[in-house]
Amino acid sequence: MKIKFKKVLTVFTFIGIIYCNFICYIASNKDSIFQVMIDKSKDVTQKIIDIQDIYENNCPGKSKWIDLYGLVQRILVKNQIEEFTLFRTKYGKIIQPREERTEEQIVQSVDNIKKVEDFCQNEGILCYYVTSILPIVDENDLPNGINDYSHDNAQKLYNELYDKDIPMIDLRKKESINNINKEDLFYKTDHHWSMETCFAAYQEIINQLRKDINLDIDTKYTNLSNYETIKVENSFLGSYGIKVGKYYAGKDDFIIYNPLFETDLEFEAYDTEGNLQLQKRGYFMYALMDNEIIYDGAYMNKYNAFSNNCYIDNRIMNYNADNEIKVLLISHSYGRPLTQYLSLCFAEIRNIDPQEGRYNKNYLEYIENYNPDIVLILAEFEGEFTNVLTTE
Amino acid sequence: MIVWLLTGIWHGANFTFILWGIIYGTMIIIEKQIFEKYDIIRRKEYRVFVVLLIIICWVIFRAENVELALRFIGTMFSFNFDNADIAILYAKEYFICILVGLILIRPIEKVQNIQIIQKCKWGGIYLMFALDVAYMIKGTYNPFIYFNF
Repeated sequence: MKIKFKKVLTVFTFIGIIYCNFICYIASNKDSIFQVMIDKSKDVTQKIIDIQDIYENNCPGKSKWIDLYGLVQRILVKNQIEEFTLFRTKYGKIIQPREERTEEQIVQSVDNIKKVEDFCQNEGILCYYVTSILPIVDENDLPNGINDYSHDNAQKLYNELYDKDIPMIDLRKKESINNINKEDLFYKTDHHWSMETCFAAYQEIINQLRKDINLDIDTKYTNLSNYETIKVENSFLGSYGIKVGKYYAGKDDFIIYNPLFETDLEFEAYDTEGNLQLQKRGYFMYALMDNEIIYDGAYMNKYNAFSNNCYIDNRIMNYNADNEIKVLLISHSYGRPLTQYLSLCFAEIRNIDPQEGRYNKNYLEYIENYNPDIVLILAEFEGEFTNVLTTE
Repeated sequence: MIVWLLTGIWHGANFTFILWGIIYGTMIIIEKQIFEKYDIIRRKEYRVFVVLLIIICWVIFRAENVELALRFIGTMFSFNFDNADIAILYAKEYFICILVGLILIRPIEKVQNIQIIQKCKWGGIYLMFALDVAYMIKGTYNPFIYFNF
Protein backbone atom coordinates (compact mmCIF):
# COMPACT_ATOMS: atom_id res chain seq x y z
CA MET A 1 0.00 0.00 0.00
CA LYS A 2 2.81 2.36 1.02
CA ILE A 3 4.79 1.60 -2.15
CA LYS A 4 1.67 2.06 -4.28
CA PHE A 5 1.07 5.44 -2.67
CA LYS A 6 4.67 6.45 -3.39
CA LYS A 7 4.28 5.41 -7.01
CA VAL A 8 1.07 7.40 -7.42
CA LEU A 9 2.65 10.40 -5.67
CA THR A 10 5.68 10.23 -7.92
CA VAL A 11 3.56 10.05 -11.05
CA PHE A 12 1.44 13.03 -9.99
CA THR A 13 4.50 15.02 -8.86
CA PHE A 14 6.19 14.54 -12.22
CA ILE A 15 3.04 15.28 -14.20
CA GLY A 16 2.35 18.28 -11.95
CA ILE A 17 5.84 19.73 -12.45
CA ILE A 18 5.77 19.15 -16.20
CA TYR A 19 2.33 20.70 -16.71
CA CYS A 20 2.87 23.60 -14.27
CA ASN A 21 6.11 24.35 -16.05
CA PHE A 22 4.35 24.12 -19.41
CA ILE A 23 1.51 26.46 -18.36
CA CYS A 24 3.96 28.98 -16.82
CA TYR A 25 6.04 28.83 -19.97
CA ILE A 26 3.05 29.48 -22.25
CA ALA A 27 1.83 32.30 -20.00
CA SER A 28 5.17 34.08 -19.76
CA ASN A 29 6.10 33.71 -23.43
CA LYS A 30 2.71 33.96 -25.09
CA ASP A 31 3.66 36.94 -27.26
CA SER A 32 6.86 35.35 -28.60
CA ILE A 33 5.09 32.01 -29.19
CA PHE A 34 2.24 33.79 -30.96
CA GLN A 35 4.70 35.59 -33.23
CA VAL A 36 6.28 32.26 -34.19
CA MET A 37 2.88 30.63 -34.76
CA ILE A 38 1.66 33.33 -37.17
CA ASP A 39 4.95 33.58 -39.07
CA LYS A 40 4.02 32.25 -42.51
CA SER A 41 7.64 32.09 -43.68
CA LYS A 42 8.35 29.14 -41.36
CA ASP A 43 7.21 25.56 -41.78
CA VAL A 44 5.82 23.43 -38.94
CA THR A 45 9.21 21.91 -38.09
CA GLN A 46 10.88 25.33 -37.86
CA LYS A 47 8.04 26.65 -35.73
CA ILE A 48 8.42 23.79 -33.26
CA ILE A 49 12.19 24.31 -33.13
CA ASP A 50 11.71 28.05 -32.53
CA ILE A 51 9.18 27.43 -29.76
CA GLN A 52 11.61 24.99 -28.17
CA ASP A 53 14.35 27.64 -28.44
CA ILE A 54 12.10 30.17 -26.72
CA TYR A 55 11.58 27.66 -23.93
CA GLU A 56 15.29 26.92 -23.55
CA ASN A 57 16.20 30.61 -23.53
CA ASN A 58 13.48 31.85 -21.21
CA CYS A 59 12.78 29.05 -18.81
CA PRO A 60 12.69 30.18 -15.17
CA GLY A 61 15.92 29.64 -13.27
CA LYS A 62 17.77 28.66 -16.43
CA SER A 63 21.22 29.43 -15.03
CA LYS A 64 20.54 27.23 -11.99
CA TRP A 65 19.53 24.32 -14.20
CA ILE A 66 22.64 24.80 -16.31
CA ASP A 67 24.74 24.91 -13.15
CA LEU A 68 23.21 21.53 -12.23
CA TYR A 69 23.93 20.20 -15.70
CA GLY A 70 27.54 21.40 -15.45
CA LEU A 71 27.92 19.88 -12.02
CA VAL A 72 26.85 16.49 -13.38
CA GLN A 73 29.24 16.86 -16.31
CA ARG A 74 32.00 17.57 -13.81
CA ILE A 75 31.07 14.53 -11.71
CA LEU A 76 31.08 12.43 -14.87
CA VAL A 77 34.64 13.70 -15.50
CA LYS A 78 33.71 15.05 -18.91
CA ASN A 79 36.17 17.30 -20.66
CA GLN A 80 34.10 17.89 -23.76
CA ILE A 81 31.13 20.20 -24.07
CA GLU A 82 28.56 20.66 -26.82
CA GLU A 83 29.05 17.35 -28.59
CA PHE A 84 32.84 17.46 -28.80
CA THR A 85 33.03 21.03 -30.11
CA LEU A 86 34.35 22.64 -26.92
CA PHE A 87 36.94 21.19 -24.55
CA ARG A 88 38.15 21.95 -21.10
CA THR A 89 41.92 22.13 -21.25
CA LYS A 90 44.15 20.81 -18.51
CA TYR A 91 44.80 24.37 -17.32
CA GLY A 92 41.07 25.00 -16.91
CA LYS A 93 40.29 27.13 -19.93
CA ILE A 94 37.48 26.12 -22.25
CA ILE A 95 38.54 26.26 -25.88
CA GLN A 96 37.08 25.51 -29.26
CA PRO A 97 39.58 23.61 -31.41
CA ARG A 98 39.62 24.80 -35.00
CA GLU A 99 39.57 22.59 -38.04
CA GLU A 100 42.24 22.92 -40.68
CA ARG A 101 41.41 25.53 -43.31
CA THR A 102 41.98 24.74 -46.95
CA GLU A 103 44.43 26.61 -49.16
CA GLU A 104 41.43 27.89 -51.13
CA GLN A 105 39.79 29.38 -48.03
CA ILE A 106 43.01 31.11 -47.02
CA VAL A 107 43.53 32.56 -50.49
CA GLN A 108 39.93 33.77 -50.57
CA SER A 109 40.38 35.50 -47.21
CA VAL A 110 43.57 37.21 -48.26
CA ASP A 111 42.14 38.26 -51.63
CA ASN A 112 39.34 40.05 -49.80
CA ILE A 113 41.73 41.75 -47.41
CA LYS A 114 43.86 42.75 -50.40
CA LYS A 115 40.86 44.39 -52.05
CA VAL A 116 40.33 46.54 -48.97
CA GLU A 117 44.03 47.33 -48.74
CA ASP A 118 44.22 48.31 -52.43
CA PHE A 119 41.17 50.50 -52.05
CA CYS A 120 42.68 52.22 -49.00
CA GLN A 121 45.98 52.72 -50.79
CA ASN A 122 44.21 54.43 -53.71
CA GLU A 123 42.37 56.69 -51.28
CA GLY A 124 45.57 57.53 -49.41
CA ILE A 125 44.42 55.70 -46.27
CA LEU A 126 46.84 53.73 -44.15
CA CYS A 127 45.64 50.12 -43.81
CA TYR A 128 46.97 47.40 -41.52
CA TYR A 129 46.00 43.83 -40.95
CA VAL A 130 46.33 43.17 -37.22
CA THR A 131 46.99 39.55 -36.43
CA SER A 132 44.79 37.87 -33.85
CA ILE A 133 46.15 36.60 -30.60
CA LEU A 134 45.19 32.95 -30.22
CA PRO A 135 44.91 30.77 -27.14
CA ILE A 136 48.03 28.69 -26.66
CA VAL A 137 47.13 25.05 -26.73
CA ASP A 138 49.96 22.65 -26.07
CA GLU A 139 49.71 19.14 -27.43
CA ASN A 140 48.86 17.72 -24.02
CA ASP A 141 46.22 20.30 -23.13
CA LEU A 142 43.61 18.68 -25.33
CA PRO A 143 42.45 15.07 -25.15
CA ASN A 144 44.24 12.64 -27.46
CA GLY A 145 42.65 12.57 -30.90
CA ILE A 146 41.58 16.22 -30.85
CA ASN A 147 43.71 18.63 -32.83
CA ASP A 148 43.62 22.39 -32.89
CA TYR A 149 44.66 24.01 -36.17
CA SER A 150 44.13 27.64 -35.17
CA HIS A 151 47.85 28.46 -35.11
CA ASP A 152 48.55 26.55 -38.34
CA ASN A 153 45.64 28.35 -40.02
CA ALA A 154 46.86 31.70 -38.73
CA GLN A 155 50.40 31.05 -39.91
CA LYS A 156 49.20 30.10 -43.39
CA LEU A 157 47.05 33.22 -43.52
CA TYR A 158 49.91 35.45 -42.43
CA ASN A 159 52.30 33.86 -44.95
CA GLU A 160 49.81 34.63 -47.68
CA LEU A 161 49.33 38.19 -46.40
CA TYR A 162 53.12 38.62 -46.36
CA ASP A 163 53.38 37.35 -49.94
CA LYS A 164 50.73 39.84 -51.02
CA ASP A 165 52.68 42.62 -49.33
CA ILE A 166 49.84 43.62 -47.00
CA PRO A 167 51.08 45.73 -44.06
CA MET A 168 50.70 43.83 -40.81
CA ILE A 169 50.88 44.45 -37.11
CA ASP A 170 51.81 40.99 -35.96
CA LEU A 171 50.72 40.85 -32.33
CA ARG A 172 51.88 37.24 -32.06
CA LYS A 173 55.49 38.37 -32.28
CA LYS A 174 55.29 41.14 -29.68
CA GLU A 175 57.24 40.51 -26.52
CA SER A 176 54.69 42.10 -24.18
CA ILE A 177 52.08 39.65 -25.41
CA ASN A 178 54.39 36.66 -25.37
CA ASN A 179 55.20 37.45 -21.75
CA ILE A 180 51.59 36.92 -20.67
CA ASN A 181 50.99 33.48 -19.17
CA LYS A 182 48.87 31.26 -21.38
CA GLU A 183 46.36 30.97 -18.52
CA ASP A 184 45.94 34.76 -18.53
CA LEU A 185 45.81 35.47 -22.27
CA PHE A 186 42.08 34.77 -22.48
CA TYR A 187 39.21 34.53 -20.04
CA LYS A 188 38.91 30.91 -19.04
CA THR A 189 35.15 30.86 -19.64
CA ASP A 190 35.11 32.96 -22.77
CA HIS A 191 36.67 33.19 -26.22
CA HIS A 192 37.72 36.81 -25.82
CA TRP A 193 41.07 38.29 -24.82
CA SER A 194 41.54 39.12 -21.17
CA MET A 195 41.91 42.77 -20.18
CA GLU A 196 45.66 42.25 -19.79
CA THR A 197 45.95 40.93 -23.34
CA CYS A 198 43.67 43.60 -24.77
CA PHE A 199 45.70 46.38 -23.17
CA ALA A 200 48.97 44.86 -24.37
CA ALA A 201 47.52 44.66 -27.90
CA TYR A 202 46.47 48.33 -27.63
CA GLN A 203 49.97 49.34 -26.52
CA GLU A 204 51.59 47.37 -29.33
CA ILE A 205 49.32 48.80 -32.04
CA ILE A 206 50.03 52.36 -30.90
CA ASN A 207 53.77 51.62 -30.60
CA GLN A 208 53.87 50.29 -34.14
CA LEU A 209 52.01 53.34 -35.47
CA ARG A 210 54.42 55.58 -33.56
CA LYS A 211 57.31 53.78 -35.25
CA ASP A 212 55.87 53.41 -38.76
CA ILE A 213 54.31 56.84 -39.32
CA ASN A 214 55.89 58.88 -36.54
CA LEU A 215 52.54 59.12 -34.86
CA ASP A 216 52.78 61.57 -31.99
CA ILE A 217 50.75 60.04 -29.18
CA ASP A 218 51.38 61.03 -25.58
CA THR A 219 52.79 58.08 -23.61
CA LYS A 220 50.35 58.78 -20.77
CA TYR A 221 47.64 57.09 -22.83
CA THR A 222 49.54 53.85 -23.18
CA ASN A 223 51.22 53.67 -19.80
CA LEU A 224 49.32 51.28 -17.55
CA SER A 225 50.39 53.22 -14.45
CA ASN A 226 47.98 55.95 -15.59
CA TYR A 227 45.07 53.56 -15.21
CA GLU A 228 43.34 52.15 -12.16
CA THR A 229 42.22 48.52 -12.13
CA ILE A 230 38.55 47.93 -11.48
CA LYS A 231 37.99 44.30 -10.59
CA VAL A 232 34.65 42.60 -10.04
CA GLU A 233 35.74 39.26 -8.64
CA ASN A 234 34.17 35.94 -9.64
CA SER A 235 31.46 37.63 -11.61
CA PHE A 236 32.03 36.73 -15.24
CA LEU A 237 30.79 33.61 -16.97
CA GLY A 238 31.63 34.00 -20.64
CA SER A 239 30.02 32.60 -23.75
CA TYR A 240 31.60 29.17 -23.19
CA GLY A 241 31.01 29.16 -19.45
CA ILE A 242 27.33 29.99 -19.83
CA LYS A 243 26.85 26.69 -21.65
CA VAL A 244 28.01 24.65 -18.66
CA GLY A 245 27.54 26.84 -15.62
CA LYS A 246 29.79 27.94 -12.79
CA TYR A 247 30.39 24.52 -11.20
CA TYR A 248 31.95 23.20 -14.38
CA ALA A 249 33.72 26.25 -15.77
CA GLY A 250 34.41 28.31 -12.67
CA LYS A 251 34.08 32.08 -12.95
CA ASP A 252 36.41 34.78 -14.20
CA ASP A 253 37.17 38.09 -12.55
CA PHE A 254 35.92 40.95 -14.69
CA ILE A 255 38.64 43.57 -14.97
CA ILE A 256 38.64 47.02 -16.53
CA TYR A 257 41.54 49.45 -16.76
CA ASN A 258 40.04 52.85 -16.08
CA PRO A 259 42.02 55.95 -17.15
CA LEU A 260 43.13 58.18 -14.27
CA PHE A 261 43.58 61.10 -16.66
CA GLU A 262 40.65 63.24 -17.71
CA THR A 263 38.50 61.90 -20.53
CA ASP A 264 35.63 63.40 -22.50
CA LEU A 265 34.19 60.84 -24.90
CA GLU A 266 31.00 60.56 -26.88
CA PHE A 267 29.73 57.12 -27.75
CA GLU A 268 27.27 56.49 -30.56
CA ALA A 269 25.88 53.13 -31.65
CA TYR A 270 24.11 52.58 -34.95
CA ASP A 271 22.07 49.64 -36.21
CA THR A 272 22.45 47.93 -39.60
CA GLU A 273 20.21 50.55 -41.23
CA GLY A 274 22.32 53.39 -39.90
CA ASN A 275 19.81 54.50 -37.26
CA LEU A 276 21.24 55.91 -34.05
CA GLN A 277 20.53 53.48 -31.20
CA LEU A 278 22.45 54.94 -28.29
CA GLN A 279 24.31 58.14 -27.53
CA LYS A 280 26.26 58.90 -24.36
CA ARG A 281 28.86 61.50 -23.52
CA GLY A 282 31.10 61.68 -20.49
CA TYR A 283 34.14 60.09 -18.88
CA PHE A 284 35.48 56.69 -19.97
CA MET A 285 33.53 54.47 -17.58
CA TYR A 286 30.28 56.34 -18.13
CA ALA A 287 30.38 56.88 -21.87
CA LEU A 288 31.75 53.52 -23.00
CA MET A 289 30.78 50.92 -20.40
CA ASP A 290 27.38 49.55 -19.44
CA ASN A 291 27.74 49.88 -15.67
CA GLU A 292 24.47 48.08 -14.98
CA ILE A 293 25.87 44.94 -16.57
CA ILE A 294 29.13 45.24 -14.64
CA TYR A 295 27.50 45.44 -11.22
CA ASP A 296 24.38 43.31 -11.79
CA GLY A 297 25.15 40.13 -9.85
CA ALA A 298 22.70 38.09 -11.90
CA TYR A 299 24.14 39.15 -15.27
CA MET A 300 26.89 36.68 -16.05
CA ASN A 301 28.25 37.61 -19.50
CA LYS A 302 30.06 40.76 -18.37
CA TYR A 303 31.87 41.13 -21.69
CA ASN A 304 28.68 42.74 -22.97
CA ALA A 305 29.46 45.72 -20.76
CA PHE A 306 32.11 46.82 -23.27
CA SER A 307 30.87 49.34 -25.83
CA ASN A 308 27.55 49.48 -24.01
CA ASN A 309 26.58 46.06 -25.33
CA CYS A 310 26.47 47.44 -28.89
CA TYR A 311 28.26 45.61 -31.66
CA ILE A 312 27.25 46.66 -35.17
CA ASP A 313 28.59 50.14 -35.83
CA ASN A 314 30.08 51.87 -32.78
CA ARG A 315 31.58 55.35 -32.96
CA ILE A 316 33.58 57.16 -30.30
CA MET A 317 34.49 60.84 -30.49
CA ASN A 318 37.29 61.99 -28.21
CA TYR A 319 36.93 65.68 -27.33
CA ASN A 320 40.27 65.73 -25.51
CA ALA A 321 42.22 64.30 -28.45
CA ASP A 322 45.61 65.75 -29.32
CA ASN A 323 45.07 65.14 -33.05
CA GLU A 324 42.41 65.05 -35.76
CA ILE A 325 43.03 61.44 -36.78
CA LYS A 326 40.07 59.21 -37.64
CA VAL A 327 40.42 55.42 -37.34
CA LEU A 328 38.23 52.59 -38.57
CA LEU A 329 38.60 49.24 -36.83
CA ILE A 330 37.04 46.32 -38.68
CA SER A 331 36.85 43.55 -36.15
CA HIS A 332 34.64 41.00 -34.51
CA SER A 333 33.85 41.24 -30.81
CA TYR A 334 37.55 41.09 -29.80
CA GLY A 335 37.72 44.66 -30.96
CA ARG A 336 35.14 46.15 -28.60
CA PRO A 337 37.37 46.82 -25.57
CA LEU A 338 40.30 47.52 -27.89
CA THR A 339 38.26 50.26 -29.60
CA GLN A 340 37.65 51.86 -26.23
CA TYR A 341 41.37 52.17 -25.49
CA LEU A 342 42.29 53.23 -29.03
CA SER A 343 39.65 55.96 -28.75
CA LEU A 344 41.83 57.66 -26.13
CA CYS A 345 44.56 58.32 -28.73
CA PHE A 346 42.50 59.60 -31.66
CA ALA A 347 39.87 62.22 -32.43
CA GLU A 348 37.44 59.58 -33.62
CA ILE A 349 37.29 55.82 -33.96
CA ARG A 350 34.64 53.59 -35.43
CA ASN A 351 34.31 49.86 -34.96
CA ILE A 352 32.25 47.79 -37.37
CA ASP A 353 31.74 44.07 -36.98
CA PRO A 354 31.54 41.97 -40.16
CA GLN A 355 30.03 38.89 -38.55
CA GLU A 356 26.74 37.65 -39.97
CA GLY A 357 23.80 39.73 -38.79
CA ARG A 358 26.02 42.67 -37.83
CA TYR A 359 27.46 45.19 -40.29
CA ASN A 360 27.14 43.23 -43.53
CA LYS A 361 26.99 46.05 -46.08
CA ASN A 362 29.70 47.12 -48.50
CA TYR A 363 32.84 47.94 -46.53
CA LEU A 364 34.53 49.82 -49.35
CA GLU A 365 31.56 52.17 -49.49
CA TYR A 366 31.75 52.61 -45.73
CA ILE A 367 35.43 53.51 -45.95
CA GLU A 368 34.78 55.90 -48.82
CA ASN A 369 31.99 57.68 -46.93
CA TYR A 370 33.81 57.83 -43.61
CA ASN A 371 37.21 58.62 -45.12
CA PRO A 372 39.34 57.58 -42.13
CA ASP A 373 43.10 58.16 -41.87
CA ILE A 374 43.81 54.63 -40.67
CA VAL A 375 42.00 51.33 -41.23
CA LEU A 376 42.79 48.41 -38.94
CA ILE A 377 41.50 44.99 -39.87
CA LEU A 378 41.38 42.56 -36.97
CA ALA A 379 39.39 39.48 -37.82
CA GLU A 380 39.94 35.75 -38.20
CA PHE A 381 37.97 35.58 -41.44
CA GLU A 382 36.57 32.09 -41.04
CA GLY A 383 34.47 30.63 -43.86
CA GLU A 384 32.06 33.05 -45.49
CA PHE A 385 32.99 35.72 -43.01
CA THR A 386 35.27 37.59 -45.41
CA ASN A 387 32.74 38.05 -48.18
CA VAL A 388 31.08 40.98 -46.46
CA LEU A 389 34.28 42.95 -46.81
CA THR A 390 33.59 43.41 -50.48
CA THR A 391 29.87 42.73 -50.84
CA GLU A 392 28.64 44.63 -53.88
CA MET B 1 5.01 -5.60 -38.29
CA ILE B 2 2.56 -3.03 -39.64
CA VAL B 3 2.81 -1.04 -36.40
CA TRP B 4 6.62 -0.87 -36.59
CA LEU B 5 6.59 -0.10 -40.30
CA LEU B 6 4.20 2.78 -39.65
CA THR B 7 6.31 3.88 -36.67
CA GLY B 8 9.28 4.08 -39.01
CA ILE B 9 7.39 5.98 -41.71
CA TRP B 10 5.98 8.36 -39.09
CA HIS B 11 9.49 9.64 -38.45
CA GLY B 12 9.93 10.77 -42.02
CA ALA B 13 10.17 9.99 -45.70
CA ASN B 14 13.48 8.20 -45.64
CA PHE B 15 14.38 4.57 -46.23
CA THR B 16 16.45 4.65 -43.04
CA PHE B 17 13.28 5.02 -40.95
CA ILE B 18 11.51 2.29 -42.92
CA LEU B 19 14.46 -0.06 -42.54
CA TRP B 20 14.63 0.73 -38.83
CA GLY B 21 10.91 -0.10 -38.47
CA ILE B 22 11.22 -3.31 -40.50
CA ILE B 23 14.17 -4.58 -38.43
CA TYR B 24 12.38 -3.83 -35.15
CA GLY B 25 9.15 -5.43 -36.38
CA THR B 26 10.96 -8.51 -37.69
CA MET B 27 12.94 -8.94 -34.49
CA ILE B 28 9.85 -8.67 -32.32
CA ILE B 29 8.09 -11.30 -34.43
CA ILE B 30 11.10 -13.62 -34.18
CA GLU B 31 11.39 -12.98 -30.45
CA LYS B 32 7.72 -13.71 -29.77
CA GLN B 33 7.43 -16.70 -32.11
CA ILE B 34 10.77 -18.43 -31.64
CA PHE B 35 13.02 -17.10 -28.89
CA GLU B 36 10.30 -16.96 -26.24
CA LYS B 37 9.15 -20.48 -27.12
CA TYR B 38 12.62 -21.94 -26.61
CA ASP B 39 13.36 -19.71 -23.62
CA ILE B 40 16.31 -18.11 -25.40
CA ILE B 41 15.36 -14.63 -24.23
CA ARG B 42 16.56 -15.41 -20.70
CA ARG B 43 20.09 -16.14 -21.90
CA LYS B 44 22.83 -13.57 -21.23
CA GLU B 45 24.10 -13.89 -24.81
CA TYR B 46 20.68 -12.92 -26.06
CA ARG B 47 20.69 -9.74 -23.96
CA VAL B 48 24.06 -8.78 -25.45
CA PHE B 49 22.71 -9.52 -28.92
CA VAL B 50 19.62 -7.34 -28.33
CA VAL B 51 21.68 -4.40 -27.04
CA LEU B 52 24.00 -4.64 -30.06
CA LEU B 53 21.08 -4.84 -32.43
CA ILE B 54 19.45 -1.79 -30.89
CA ILE B 55 22.70 0.17 -31.21
CA ILE B 56 22.98 -0.83 -34.88
CA CYS B 57 19.37 0.14 -35.46
CA TRP B 58 19.95 3.59 -33.95
CA VAL B 59 22.78 4.09 -36.43
CA ILE B 60 20.36 3.33 -39.26
CA PHE B 61 17.76 5.61 -37.71
CA ARG B 62 20.10 8.61 -37.41
CA ALA B 63 22.00 8.21 -40.69
CA GLU B 64 21.22 10.52 -43.58
CA ASN B 65 20.67 7.59 -45.92
CA VAL B 66 21.00 3.80 -46.00
CA GLU B 67 24.34 3.91 -47.80
CA LEU B 68 25.87 6.08 -45.08
CA ALA B 69 24.32 3.89 -42.41
CA LEU B 70 25.88 0.77 -43.92
CA ARG B 71 29.24 2.50 -44.24
CA PHE B 72 29.01 3.59 -40.61
CA ILE B 73 28.14 0.07 -39.44
CA GLY B 74 30.93 -1.33 -41.62
CA THR B 75 33.39 1.00 -39.89
CA MET B 76 32.07 -0.04 -36.48
CA PHE B 77 32.96 -3.66 -37.23
CA SER B 78 36.03 -3.11 -39.42
CA PHE B 79 38.49 -3.48 -36.52
CA ASN B 80 40.49 -0.67 -38.08
CA PHE B 81 42.41 1.03 -35.27
CA ASP B 82 43.58 4.11 -37.20
CA ASN B 83 41.27 6.32 -35.18
CA ALA B 84 41.64 4.44 -31.93
CA ASP B 85 42.48 7.65 -30.05
CA ILE B 86 39.01 9.03 -30.92
CA ALA B 87 37.40 5.79 -29.70
CA ILE B 88 39.43 6.00 -26.48
CA LEU B 89 38.39 9.63 -26.06
CA TYR B 90 34.71 8.71 -26.36
CA ALA B 91 35.16 5.78 -24.00
CA LYS B 92 36.85 8.05 -21.45
CA GLU B 93 34.21 10.76 -21.74
CA TYR B 94 31.40 8.27 -21.25
CA PHE B 95 33.20 5.91 -18.89
CA ILE B 96 30.94 6.52 -15.89
CA CYS B 97 27.81 6.39 -18.04
CA ILE B 98 28.97 3.08 -19.53
CA LEU B 99 29.65 1.76 -16.04
CA VAL B 100 26.18 2.72 -14.82
CA GLY B 101 24.73 1.26 -18.02
CA LEU B 102 26.49 -2.04 -17.39
CA ILE B 103 24.90 -2.23 -13.94
CA LEU B 104 21.44 -1.30 -15.15
CA ILE B 105 21.53 -3.61 -18.16
CA ARG B 106 20.83 -6.53 -15.84
CA PRO B 107 17.22 -7.79 -15.38
CA ILE B 108 15.16 -5.36 -13.34
CA GLU B 109 14.56 -7.88 -10.49
CA LYS B 110 18.32 -8.21 -9.96
CA VAL B 111 18.95 -4.48 -10.18
CA GLN B 112 16.19 -3.80 -7.66
CA ASN B 113 17.84 -6.15 -5.19
CA ILE B 114 21.12 -4.22 -5.14
CA GLN B 115 21.20 -2.77 -1.63
CA ILE B 116 22.25 0.75 -2.54
CA ILE B 117 19.57 0.97 -5.21
CA GLN B 118 16.94 -0.21 -2.74
CA LYS B 119 17.99 2.49 -0.28
CA CYS B 120 18.23 5.36 -2.74
CA LYS B 121 15.46 4.33 -5.12
CA TRP B 122 13.01 7.19 -4.54
CA GLY B 123 15.63 9.85 -4.08
CA GLY B 124 17.28 8.54 -7.22
CA ILE B 125 14.07 8.77 -9.23
CA TYR B 126 13.54 12.41 -8.22
CA LEU B 127 17.21 13.19 -8.86
CA MET B 128 17.03 11.62 -12.30
CA PHE B 129 13.94 13.70 -13.03
CA ALA B 130 15.76 16.89 -12.00
CA LEU B 131 18.72 15.92 -14.16
CA ASP B 132 16.43 15.22 -17.10
CA VAL B 133 14.99 18.71 -16.75
CA ALA B 134 18.51 20.18 -16.51
CA TYR B 135 19.65 18.38 -19.65
CA MET B 136 16.45 19.37 -21.45
CA ILE B 137 16.85 23.03 -20.55
CA LYS B 138 20.50 22.92 -21.47
CA GLY B 139 19.29 21.93 -24.92
CA THR B 140 22.02 19.37 -25.36
CA TYR B 141 22.15 17.67 -28.71
CA ASN B 142 18.49 17.55 -29.42
CA PRO B 143 17.78 17.57 -33.13
CA PHE B 144 14.15 17.71 -34.13
CA ILE B 145 13.60 14.33 -35.75
CA TYR B 146 9.91 14.35 -36.56
CA PHE B 147 8.06 15.58 -39.65
CA ASN B 148 11.07 14.84 -41.85
CA PHE B 149 8.95 14.77 -44.96
